[in-house]
Parts: sequence; structure tokens; C-alpha cells
Amino acid sequence: MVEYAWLAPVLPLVGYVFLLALGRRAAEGLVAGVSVILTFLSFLVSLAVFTALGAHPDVTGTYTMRWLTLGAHSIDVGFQVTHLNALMLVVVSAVSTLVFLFSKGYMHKDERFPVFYQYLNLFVFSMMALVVSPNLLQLYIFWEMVGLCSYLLIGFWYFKPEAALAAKKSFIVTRLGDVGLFIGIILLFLSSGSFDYSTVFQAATTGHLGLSWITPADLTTLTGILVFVGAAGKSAQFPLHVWLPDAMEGPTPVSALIHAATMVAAGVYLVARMYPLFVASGTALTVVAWVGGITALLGALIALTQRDIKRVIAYSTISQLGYMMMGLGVGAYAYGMFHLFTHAFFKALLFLAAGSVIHAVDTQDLFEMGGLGKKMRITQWTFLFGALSLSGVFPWAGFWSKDSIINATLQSGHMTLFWIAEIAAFCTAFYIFRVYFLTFHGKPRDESKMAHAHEGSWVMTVPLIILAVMAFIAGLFNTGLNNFGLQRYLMADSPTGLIGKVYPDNVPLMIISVTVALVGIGLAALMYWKPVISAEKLARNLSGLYRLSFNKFYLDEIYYGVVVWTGKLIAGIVDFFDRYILDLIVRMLGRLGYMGGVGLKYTQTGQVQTYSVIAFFGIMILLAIAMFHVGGVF
Amino acid sequence: MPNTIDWLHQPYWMTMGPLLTLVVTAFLVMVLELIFRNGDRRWLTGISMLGTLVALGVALGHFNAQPSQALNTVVIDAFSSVFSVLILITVFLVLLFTLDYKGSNRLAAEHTYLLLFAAVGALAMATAVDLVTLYVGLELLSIASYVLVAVRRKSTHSVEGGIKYMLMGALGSAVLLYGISFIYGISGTTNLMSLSAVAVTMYTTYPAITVLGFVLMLFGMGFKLSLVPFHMWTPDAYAGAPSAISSFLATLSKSAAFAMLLRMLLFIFNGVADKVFFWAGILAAITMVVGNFIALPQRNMKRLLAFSSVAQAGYILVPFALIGASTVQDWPSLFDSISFYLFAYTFMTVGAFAVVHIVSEQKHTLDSDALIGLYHRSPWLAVALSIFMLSLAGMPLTAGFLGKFYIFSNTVQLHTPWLGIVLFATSVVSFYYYLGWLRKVFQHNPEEERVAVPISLPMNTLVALCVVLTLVLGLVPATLLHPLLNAHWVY
Repeated sequence: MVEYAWLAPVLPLVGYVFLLALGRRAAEGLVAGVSVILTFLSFLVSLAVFTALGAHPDVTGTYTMRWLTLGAHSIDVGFQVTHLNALMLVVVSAVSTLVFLFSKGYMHKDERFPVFYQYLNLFVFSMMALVVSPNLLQLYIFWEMVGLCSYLLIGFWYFKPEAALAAKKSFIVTRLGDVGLFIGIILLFLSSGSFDYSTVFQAATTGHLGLSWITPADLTTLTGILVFVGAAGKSAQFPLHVWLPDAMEGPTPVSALIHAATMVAAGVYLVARMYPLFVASGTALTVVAWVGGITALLGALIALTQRDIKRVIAYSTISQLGYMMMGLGVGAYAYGMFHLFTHAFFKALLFLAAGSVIHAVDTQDLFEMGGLGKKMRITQWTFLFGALSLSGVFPWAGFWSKDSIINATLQSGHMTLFWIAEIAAFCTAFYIFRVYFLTFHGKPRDESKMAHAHEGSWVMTVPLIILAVMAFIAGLFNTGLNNFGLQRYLMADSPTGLIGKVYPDNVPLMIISVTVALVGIGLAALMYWKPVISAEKLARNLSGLYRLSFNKFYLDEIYYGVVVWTGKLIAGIVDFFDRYILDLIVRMLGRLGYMGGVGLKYTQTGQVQTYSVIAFFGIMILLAIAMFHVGGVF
Repeated sequence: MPNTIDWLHQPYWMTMGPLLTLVVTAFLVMVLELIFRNGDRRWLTGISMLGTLVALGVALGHFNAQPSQALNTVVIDAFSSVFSVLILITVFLVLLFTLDYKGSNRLAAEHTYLLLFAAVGALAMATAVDLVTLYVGLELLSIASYVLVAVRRKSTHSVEGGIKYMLMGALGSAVLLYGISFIYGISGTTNLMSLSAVAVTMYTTYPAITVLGFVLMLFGMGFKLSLVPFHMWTPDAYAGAPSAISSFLATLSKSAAFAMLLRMLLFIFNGVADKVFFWAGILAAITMVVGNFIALPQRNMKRLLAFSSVAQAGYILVPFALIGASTVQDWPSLFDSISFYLFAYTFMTVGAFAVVHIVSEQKHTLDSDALIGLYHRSPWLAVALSIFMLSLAGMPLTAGFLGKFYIFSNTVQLHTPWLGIVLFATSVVSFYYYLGWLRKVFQHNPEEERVAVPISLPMNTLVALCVVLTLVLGLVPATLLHPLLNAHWVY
């Protein structure tokens, strides 16, 4: 089965090409139907690969063919199946299938419906191809392709200025990270002579990663951090997280699929994929842990005060990605990936449920909603499942994965990170239930919008229900019930302990975590459900902190001041140089070349006599030089 | 010594299978053409294509055969196999191309078997190791080509092109023979295998004569390859001949001439390559520069493609010249570059001629303004032409890019960067005219002129084949490189 893993990315590619051929006026049903069926087939392939690996852990393999040979080096293309890759394939294809189905309802009657599905298919192809890439170069190609798809989809409603701006911002900010990744990849290639993971790891772990200007240990750390910079850009880690909230200008299914469940997890995946490199350099791993921790807390703090339903969830995504990075950083490889797995489901669920709400009331402002629970039972209940899972309430999925990470921070002796994680967990429970109560409970604050609110058709509710079930049970894949199946599965990639540690369950800690979550939920209930505590008063009393959180710690402004102005200054100088100096030279060269061509054209007289004469003189001159050069005939 | 030859155990079929198949097909078609004088006789082309396919099958069947020879004259080795396959594929494509000429536009029926005889000559040039046999192959190809260019007897352009080609071709043959006679004079043999054994002695005894022989042979072949300054017949012949024949001249006769040149010079100057191949580098540089610059102001589409083919021959001559800077270990990589580029060049050039043919048939002009708004008349042709142009210009993801890339990396590896720089710089110049076409193709034109382009089935097939092959070589070069890398190159 494993040798057919290439089908998983290729099926969505087939979908893309097919939709491209159908054109922009294809029927909605056909477009959506084909896409859903193909991604579902892709899901089945992924599942088969996943289970095949589960049954025989040693059938992992790399399938490549030679693409280029450059002197002593060669570059292969192909695909690679490991336990990590197989898990990612399942996650991506599963969420994609559901989102594809949901979009049928959400994007109904959009003018560019087929184009939307084309982009989605292209994205799924790129993402899956990224996952199965056997080397860093191929990974980088698809890394940029998912970036491109993300750009196209955020700016899908390009006629909205905010959407166009957000698309641009996301593209540029992630590009900052990509530059780091690119430099890292080049350095790894120069020092190890290969783009292949195994060769790079071999060199890194044995200390053979060498360049003349840097010691092997420093180089390992440097490349590790550069790779992480790329991962941080994609996974919206502090300080490169600023693009993700703006990316919410895209259609909500896009937010669910790309900006919550899959693409943003690519950064986490990259760190996990490159884990032996990070382990080889302890420093790089520490950086990952701390950046992750800070991001987790920062995201949660900002999410506390946002008014836009999608932005709250977006900051929540940033925060949860921070958890995953922190998990990886403290050495809990399997737990980081476990959280990625559960998060994909409950976060996609939260986004799709939010989409369902937005679809019904046509606003994203939390303070224009309220009391929707009565009209949208299914959405309310599924959102509640997502919220409980995110908060980490026993026995929902998020509880198991988040608690494993918190447990790992404690057991590995990172006390500060442990406290950061717990505080962030408290905030998480609070902000998501703030959203829940403001949206579904209480009295409608805007009657006109509530009046026509109703549940979407089955294509929208079925994905919600399936995801809700997953948000409930996904955590059970790694509990005592199945003897911690998922972590055993993941750790099979490297039995030699190169990829971190796992820890036994810690029941007192579980109780503490659940309590923290429940306190957060309780506080949210007291403020927004049965208003015992006035939220306004609290905000006024803590106005400094409130404004800091509401204005996202002024990070956008700082960026604007530093990055944008520096960029403009440099651009101004370069522009002058280019316009008045380079252009002049280029123009002159072009003019000269063209005139030379015209001159040569006049030799082409059409007279065969001229041709012979020119040939004759050509022969004579060259012969004379050659004879002179060789020392004469006699 | 004929009595020492074991007639029964000579590998005739191995070495001459494709050639014999084509000879039989050509005579068959010739006779059939005499018997069936009326009606639409394109089925003769069908038979020719079938024969070509059989020959191709034979060539592929022997592709990895152990090198061997027959009669001391013809050999089979990777070199002959690769070029035979290329030549047969090209003949097939050109025959497919000629299917488009029908009704009042039809070509004189002789063109079918003339093409086959030309291909027989080309195969001889790829497989023979005796100067006389090589020369006979060359003349067979050349004389058939002269007639083919002038195949439209009633058109002055066609006849003019044919005559010019013949005169310049004769001059080239003379120069080549003059060079060969020097070599024969000092060695007393025309057999390449014997020559390669005495090459070093030859050079140490008569350095100047040897160099003279090399340079004259190179120049003589230079006429066939349209290297500068022997290129001047090229635009006249290409523009005068029917497009199918132009594409034939640009691809098949060049591949064959390159095969012959490489085989000849490599054997005769075995061991003294560093002393003589340098002169090919000079010629390559002049050709790249002049070919590209002279193409800049061209407006006639076929003349432009003619100059483009001049420039492209310059690129292919680069790895050739590098033989002088290499050791025997580097040869496979140079042969890979040459043959990869020739494959790529063949597909993109035949494709470009096909599109030009279709467009000029619709607009009744060869001026490149006929391309304006092609995208609105036929998106498919527009995309196909873009792929060919981008490939000729050497844009990534196309065969042309990798071809140039391999050549360029050869120049770097063999410490001859100046040739690489000329290659690179002149390629940049070529962007002007290749991409200039694209600008016209995607330009808007008035609504009323948007008449869909009629495309016949053979042309559709031909363009599609060329597109697919250009892209496959560009995206998965391993399909071709892999067999090349595993080949036993020289007998």
C-alpha cells in the first residue's frame, strides 16, 4: 500500500486540472461533487497508508527518481512515507474532505465558485505533496506553493480592499520566514552536500555539518534556528504571527482548512520533520520552546478582548500552534504532533461553526449576535463541543493533547513554561466561552439580523457533526485505553530516541488543568451568561491592560514603524539607482544590440556570390590564424 | 582483407537494421508512387510513417546492445543508437507534418521517398566509421535536401532557396573533402578506427597538416550546420521551402551533421583533442553572437526561426568545443549534453515550425504580425507556441532550459567559463525575439478579426506531441538522461 501513497496528493491535482478544464462557468454541483469525491478518495488512500504503517512499522520507505545531476551532487524527486507523514496525510485529507463539503453550502451562488474549488484543490495537492516530500528542496517548492494558494484564497474576494491587503500582508510576512528557511536549506546543502533528510540528519547528529567559517555545533544551531524562522512564519509564531488574524478576510472555509487545520500546521510539521537537527542542537530546541510558549500566552491574551468572532478563533489558533511548538521544544515530539492532530479537528470545527453563524446572521461582530442557540441547535451544540475541546475539559480531545504537553513541560523541568502554559490555558477557556455565550446565549442584540437566522443545509451541518464527534473522541487515540497508540505509532519513526521523549500520565496535574479550564469557563459564564460581573467595569478598571490586549500589544504598529519604513527607505534608494543608472545602461546596450543586428542584416544580400565570398574570407582568416598558431605548415 | 571477414557472423542486422528497413520502405514507396498516379496519395506517407516506426522499433530494440561492428564500416554503439533514434523520431514528425499538405497545396509526390532517402543518409552518418561511407551518407542526405527545398517547382522562392542551398552545400562538401584528403594523405586510410590508432603520431609528425585537416573538416560541416560565417544560405532556404521541409532542414539534417562531425573528429583526433578542438569553440562563439544578433530585427517568421537555428547550432557546438578541455572521463557527460540538447531542440523547433505553418496558412503571410491576437483565435496554439518559444529561449520547466543548463554546467566543470558566459549572454539577447512573439500572441486584436484558426488533425497531433515531449524533457529529464547515462558511448 505504501508505494501507492503518491496517489494521495495526485488525486486533488487531478481535481484541479479537471476543474481548470471545466472552466469558470461549470455547474456548482459538478464542481463540488468531483472535488469532494476526489479528496475523499485521497483520504481513503491516506487512511490505508496510515493503517498499513500501523500494522507493519518497518514498511516506511522513500521512493525517488533522479531528477538532476550537478557534478557530484544529484537531486531526486519522489515521495517518502514515514509515520509522521502518514499521520499528516490523514489529517489533511480528512479535514479537506469535510471543508470541501461545507463550502458547497457556504460559497453557494458565489460568482467564482469553480475558481474557489480550483484553488482549494491546488492547495490540498500542494499541502500533501509538501508532507510526502523526500527532501528539503522539494519541500521548499511545495512550501511556496501552499503559500501561493493561501495568498490566492485570502484574497479570494479581491474586490474588498481589506481582503487584498490581508493577502498581501500574509504573503510578505510569511516571506520573511521563508527567506530564513531558504538560507537554512542552502546552508544545509552546502555543508552536507545533499537535500535529503537522512543525509542531513546523519551529518548533523555525527557533527559532520561543516563549513569553513563556522564550527559544526554553531552551524547546527544556526541552521536549526533558520529552519525554525521559516516554520514560525508559516505557523504564525511570535513575532511573525501578525498575518494570521488578517487572513480571516478570506472565506471562512479557507480559514478553517488553511489557516487553522492544515497549512499553518506545516511549520509545526517542519520542526517535527527536522527534529533530529533540532535535537542535535539543544539551543535551537530551547528557542523553539520559548517562542512557542510566548506565542501561546500572547495569542491567548489578545484573544480575550477581540470583538470579531473569527479573529478570536484566529488568535486562538496562534496560541494553540504555540502550544505545539512548545511541546516540540521541550522534547515532547509525539505530544506536539498529537496536539496538531486533535487541534486540526476541533479548530476546523470552531471555524466552520463560526462560518455557519456568519452565514446565517451576516456579521462577524460578537456584540451584534446573541441568542442564536434557539435558532441554530446543531451549530450551537457542535460549537460547544469544539469549545470544550479547546478549553481542555475532560474527556474532550483537546484535554488529552494539551495536558500531555503541559505535563511534558513540567516533567522536563521547564517550570516557567509550565506556568505560562497554565495561564494561557485559563485564558483559552475564558475567551472561547466568552464567544460561546455572546453568540448563542442571552438576548439577541440586533433583532433585524437575528430574524432570518437559520441552520444551513445538510452539506453544512454534516461536516459540523462529524467534526464534533472527532473533537470529542480524537483524544482517545492516545490514552491508556489503547495503550497510547498514537505516540507508539509516531515514535516508531526513530526507535533510537532521536525524536524526544514521552511521559507517563500525571493524574494530579490533569485535575489541576481541568480545574483551571473550568474556572475560566465559570468566569466567562459569570460575565457573559448570567452577568454577575460586569465586563465593562472590569475593562475600565484594567483599562491599560485591556487596551494592550485589544490593540494586540501594538505589534502591528511596531511592524509598520520598523519594517515598513525601513523597507520603503531601501526601496527608494534602489529605485533611484535602478531608474537613473541601471536603466540607462540597459537601454544603451539594447539599442546597440539592435543596431548591430540591423547592421548584420545588411550582409544578408540575397546574392549567393556574397555568401560565398563571406564564407571564403571566413575560412581564409580563421585558417591563417590557426596555421600561425600551430607554427606554420612547413 | 575481405577473405578474413566471416560473412555469416557479421552483425549486419544489429548495425544496419533501421537503415535497411528505411531503404526497403523508400523503394516500396517509390514503386507504389509510380503505380498509383491519381487521387489523394497521402496514404504513401502513411506507409512511410509505418516503415519509420518499424525502423524506430528496431533501433530501440538494439538500444543497449553490446557495441559491435560490421564490414569495418558500420557500428552499433550508444552513440549510433541515440542518434538513430533521434533521426527516426524526427523523420516521423516531419512525415506527420507533410500530411497537412493536400489538395491544391499538395507537395510533389516525390517528397515522401526523398525524405526517406535523406533519412537513410542521416542514419549512415550516425552509424558509419569510414570517411567514404560517411561522405556518401552526407551526400545522400544533402542531395535529397536540395531537391526537397525546391519541391515546389512553380514557386520562385522555393527554387531560389534550393539553388542557393545546393551551391553553398557543394562548397561545403568541397571544403570537407579537401580536409579529408589532407588526413588521408598523411595517414593513408579512411577508416576511423585505424585513424584513431595513428592520431597521435599523425599530429606529432605533421602538426600543421593535422590542424589544417581538422579546421577544413569543421568548416565543411559548418556549411551543413549553418555555423557562422557559412550560414548565409539558411534563411533563404528555410523561407523558400515549405514549412515541413524547413523543419526537416533545421532538425534532422543538423542532428545527422552533428553526429557525423562528432564521430569523425573524435576518432581522427583521438588523443590530440586538446590541440585542435579549441577552434570549434571560436566558431561556436561567433555563431552564438552573430546568430542571435542578426535575428533581432527579423520580421519574417521563418527567417527568424532560421537565424534561431543558427544560434542554437552555436549552443550545441559548445560541448563539442569542450572536448578539447576534457579527459575521456568527461566525454559521457558532454555526449549527454549534446544529445539532450539535440532532442530538446528537435521537439521545440518542429513544434514552432508547425505553429508558424498553421498561422501563416490562415493569414497568407509570413510576417510575424500574423501572430497578433493568436490567443483569441486559438488559445491552444497560443499556449503551444509559448511553450516552444520559452523552451527555445531557455526558460525553466522546459526542455530548452535543461539543455542549456547542462551545457552551461559543462563549461563550468571543464574550466572554460568564457564559452559559458557567451552562451548565457547571447541567450539573454535571444529573449528579445523569442518573447517578442509572445507579446504579439497575447496582444488584443479587434473583435472582427477573431476568426478561429483551422487546424487539421495531423497538425494537432504534431503540435501536441511536440508540446508533450518538450514538457516531459523539461520536467522529468530523467526519462531521457537515464538511458543516456547508462549507455556504452563509443565503440
